[in-house]
Amino acid sequence: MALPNQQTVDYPSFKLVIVGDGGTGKTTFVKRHLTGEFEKKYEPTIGVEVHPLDFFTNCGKIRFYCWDTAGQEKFGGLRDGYYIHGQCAIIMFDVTARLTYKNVPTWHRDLCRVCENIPIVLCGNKVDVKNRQVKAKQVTFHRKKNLQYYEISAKSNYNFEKPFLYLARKLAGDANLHFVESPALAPPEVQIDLAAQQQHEAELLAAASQPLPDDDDDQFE
Amino acid sequence: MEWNPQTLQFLSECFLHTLSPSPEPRRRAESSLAEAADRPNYALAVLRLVAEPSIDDQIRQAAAVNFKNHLRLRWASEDSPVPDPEKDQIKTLIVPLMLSASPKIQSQLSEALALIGHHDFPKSWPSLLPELIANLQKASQSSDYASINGILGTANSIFKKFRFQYKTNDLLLDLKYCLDNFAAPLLEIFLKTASLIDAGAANLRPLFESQRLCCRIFYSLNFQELPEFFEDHMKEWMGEFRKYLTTSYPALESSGADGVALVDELRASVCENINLYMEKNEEEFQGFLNDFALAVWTLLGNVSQSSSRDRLAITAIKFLTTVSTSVHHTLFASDGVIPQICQCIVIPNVRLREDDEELFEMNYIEFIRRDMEGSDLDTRRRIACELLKGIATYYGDAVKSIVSSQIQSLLSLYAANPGANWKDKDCAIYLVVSLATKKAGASVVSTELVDVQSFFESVIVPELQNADVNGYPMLKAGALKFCTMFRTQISKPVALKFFPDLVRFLAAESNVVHSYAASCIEKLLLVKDEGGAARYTSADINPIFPVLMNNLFNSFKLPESEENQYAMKCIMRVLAVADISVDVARVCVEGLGSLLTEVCKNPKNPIFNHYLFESVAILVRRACERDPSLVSVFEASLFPRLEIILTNDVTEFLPYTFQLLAQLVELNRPPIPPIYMQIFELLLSPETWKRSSNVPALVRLLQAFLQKAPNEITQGDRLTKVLGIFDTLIQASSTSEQGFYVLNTVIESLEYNAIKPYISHIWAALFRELQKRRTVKLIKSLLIFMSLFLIKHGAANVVDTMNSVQPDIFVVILNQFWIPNLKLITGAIELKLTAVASTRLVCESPVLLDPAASVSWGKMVDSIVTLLSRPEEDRVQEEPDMPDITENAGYSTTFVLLYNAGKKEEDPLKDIRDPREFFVASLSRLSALSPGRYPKVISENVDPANQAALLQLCNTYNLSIV
Repeated sequence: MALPNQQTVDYPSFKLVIVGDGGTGKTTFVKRHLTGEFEKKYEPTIGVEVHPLDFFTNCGKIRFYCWDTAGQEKFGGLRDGYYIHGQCAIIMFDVTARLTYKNVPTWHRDLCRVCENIPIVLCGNKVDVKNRQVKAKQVTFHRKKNLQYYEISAKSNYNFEKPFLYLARKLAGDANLHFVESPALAPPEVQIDLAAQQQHEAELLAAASQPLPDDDDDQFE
Repeated sequence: MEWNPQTLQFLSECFLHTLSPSPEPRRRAESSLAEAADRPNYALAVLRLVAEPSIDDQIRQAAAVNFKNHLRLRWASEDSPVPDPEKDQIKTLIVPLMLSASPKIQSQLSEALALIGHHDFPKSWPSLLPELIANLQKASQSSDYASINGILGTANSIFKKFRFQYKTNDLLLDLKYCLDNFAAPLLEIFLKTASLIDAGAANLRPLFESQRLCCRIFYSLNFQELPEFFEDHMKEWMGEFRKYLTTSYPALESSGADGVALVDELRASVCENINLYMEKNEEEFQGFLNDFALAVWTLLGNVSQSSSRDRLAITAIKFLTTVSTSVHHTLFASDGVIPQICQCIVIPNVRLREDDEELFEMNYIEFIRRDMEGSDLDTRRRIACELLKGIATYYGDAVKSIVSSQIQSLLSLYAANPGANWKDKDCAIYLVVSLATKKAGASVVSTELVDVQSFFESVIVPELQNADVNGYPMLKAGALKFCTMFRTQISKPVALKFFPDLVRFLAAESNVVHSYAASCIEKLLLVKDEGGAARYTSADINPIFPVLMNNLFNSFKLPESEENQYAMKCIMRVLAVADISVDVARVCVEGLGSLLTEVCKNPKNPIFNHYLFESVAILVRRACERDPSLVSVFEASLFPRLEIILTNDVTEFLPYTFQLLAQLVELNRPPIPPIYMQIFELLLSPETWKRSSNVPALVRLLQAFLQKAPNEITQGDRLTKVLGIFDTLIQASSTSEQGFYVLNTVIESLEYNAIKPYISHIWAALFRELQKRRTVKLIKSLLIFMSLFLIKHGAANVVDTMNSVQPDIFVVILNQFWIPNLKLITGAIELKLTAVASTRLVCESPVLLDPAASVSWGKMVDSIVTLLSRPEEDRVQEEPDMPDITENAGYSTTFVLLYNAGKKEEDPLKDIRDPREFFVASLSRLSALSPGRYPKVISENVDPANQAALLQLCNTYNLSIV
């Protein structure tokens, strides 16, 4: 489904929503992919920034429109208004700040209220810092909600492509999809055709028509 | 904001553009909306837009989200709240609008409604519940389940607060109000929907959603206590609950995964409800218990292994576990019950699934976390074993014999056809490990439920001795895990026999297998016998050392294990135990150095990096203990790598680098090589000290230089710069303690003549800080410094240099800080230091020996006795300094201590064994010079309790004060 003013491309593209508390590294994560730049100084995102991010896969090129949202309340802009038409999502928390993990259920609930049944990845960022407050074994929220969980580092690029690979596989419906360097080096083995993508989007839309979701207990044990 | 076609058009266009990925139209729209939001009736206008059927769905959804956020921000806001008349209109409109809305919009309006309810319900919104109930009944008559589910969803949101809020009078009053109004209609709709389901309605989906919501509301309303209405109607509720657990719904369940999920969610909600009753209302519930227990375990027998059904399986098993540990455990006593539970519930849920295999191969770190590190809460395997342990609470013998026979059966299946049945062996291993541990991941092991020894010999050892390290990797991992969990129980001769096999598995291709092998070896080396001695020593390691280290270093070449933290930790442990010859040292430092070169390019894994540096540190320390000349070998290998860190400013590694350099400085014999003085120049640069994470390591390095290169430091302006660093550090409360470490080392390591020109500046800096802030921490640091100065360079020098800054300041410092705060000193070395220094003051210093200072002298003696005779907890009131609240936003590194590069704390008074004896002996000698004088001063100025303590000290050492 084409969004208003969206630049149309002739390969599959998806709206990816990135949410999470302020300072967890959402913008750094996106910029790392876009330009390779790592920004140490913290500047809060205001409202949302949208960045197109292209990946080359064995099934051809795909694009994620990354909606990098504000994490701080006072810069929230339209908040979950930015999630509309989201086809996949990343919830980010900072493993060195326990509060950011405690707020994950709230982000997840707001996200699911707008976008039902989309693939979501939970990311614990800054795992290259020694003084982590949230130990890996304490992260269990993804298990209750059937999300995937990756520990990442926007600084060192640790696991940096895995959230996108997981989402790409889910959206393409192909568990064997993998990233390649560029089409010149590895010609596409299978083509995702646009009709199939539209069908997939239609199915997502149909799934979204399910009855009102319940906000299950989000308490941690 | 007036409601008219122009407003409709304006808002529609704005909301459409908020969906644009292009910044210009999106931001312009956001700005317009933010401006409009300040006008009265904005929320009302947006709500009307949401209600307008002619508008495109995506615009209406955007408007609904905006409406909800507007209310969240402004409904109860102090500044610019929604005006009361607008609030009233919203309350009038929102319920019917929510009920007629499409699902995505309905969920937003329902949340908005709950937001309003959070503030206003029930007192300020008395019409809400009656309106919901009236609409519920109307929708029920027409079987309009879109509306019914909207109402139930809203009620669920509103009532959720009863689950976890503290039981207060206000909460109970609200609960009573909700129960009085809603309990009966809830049961009514629940039973009506149930009858429609039973009648075989064509579209079951909304009906199941409705029942699930009823169950969630039931949970909320029953959470605090069992309400009278629900007790009176328990039979109706429980009858329907049981029906959903025992009935299958093929129309839904064969319509796809989402159909199964819908039924499972309802069943899981039922299980949570009956578990709540079992835990909290067991007496009232017991009449229904038999039927539910049977229903639940029958249900579990039919739940497939798909991970999408995990939530139901886990919730149901938890219910059975609750029953098994309750007073109603006798349900499990009947013949055949425990075997059936074991066969139909436990074994299937412990068995490996494709998902587990995928995790094992694709995300080995997560697999290890779950399998070995306790991150398996709410997994089927864990919950199934908890059930078995629960049953074993009262039926241990039965569980033991049944599990034993099940395990034998699993192993027989494996033996008959290993290729097809290897998962059965894995299941057996998992059961033994899980049941033998009281707590997942803990090292406390019980052998009550399973015979660990015989299982080890007959099942585990053959797996370990299998020649193919890559065959059946999950079985190899299970066997290695078994050895790790039971490492204390396995005898040393047996362990040494299969030790070479552990070493072989380090070369396995599977990341989990070689990680487990490394972890097993590492933990074996930590096993202690009774008495605390390590069970395994260098004599045990030396025979296999070459192949062990070779395999460990080669494991980093295996894919995805380039930075395997388990292997690196194992290297550290081996280096701590093995004998390290010259050849070993050369090879190992080169191997570690290569890894260091690699990780310097991009630090990713802090655990791996930490153990890498620990390995370097322990290698250096232990090798140089045997052969001090090896320090030059380590310098040659490590300096190029450390230089890369310093040159490229690898911030994560700087604290480690400075600690390693300190270790190397300390291992050198004076004079130290010239290259170190180049490092020293870098150390003196103010830029180096700006990052707070570097400070402790830099101080450590500076201390090492002061101790090993005192002559070099006193040349040129180096000492001036060192003291400049001290001055900078003491000005910040977070680093002032570190500043004192520098100062103390200066005073301890350098000749008095070198320090003398700077002493007045040192005192001036200290007095400046004392005026700025008088924290306990600062005062204690000052006391320790003054004491160290005194014992190193004499009491006269302390007094004279201090008074040269300001005449008679010493007496002020003595009376205001030293005497009152001496009792606060903690730490054996610090106590000894300050006690001896204080003793020397009272026995040697003319300032205190002057008859005019008798009162001060007496007070000082009083403080010394307090310090020496009272336990720490009695004389120190811990006044916690307010910690600096550091911003977590952004990126920053932190200091991490390298344990193996740590320096032993030196006692500056080695020749004085006992400070108490020193004290009373000194007093005794002093009093002998002036008989009769000091007893009088003591009786007048020393606290009576301390006089008694002093007398006791004199008796202890057979001395007297005359």
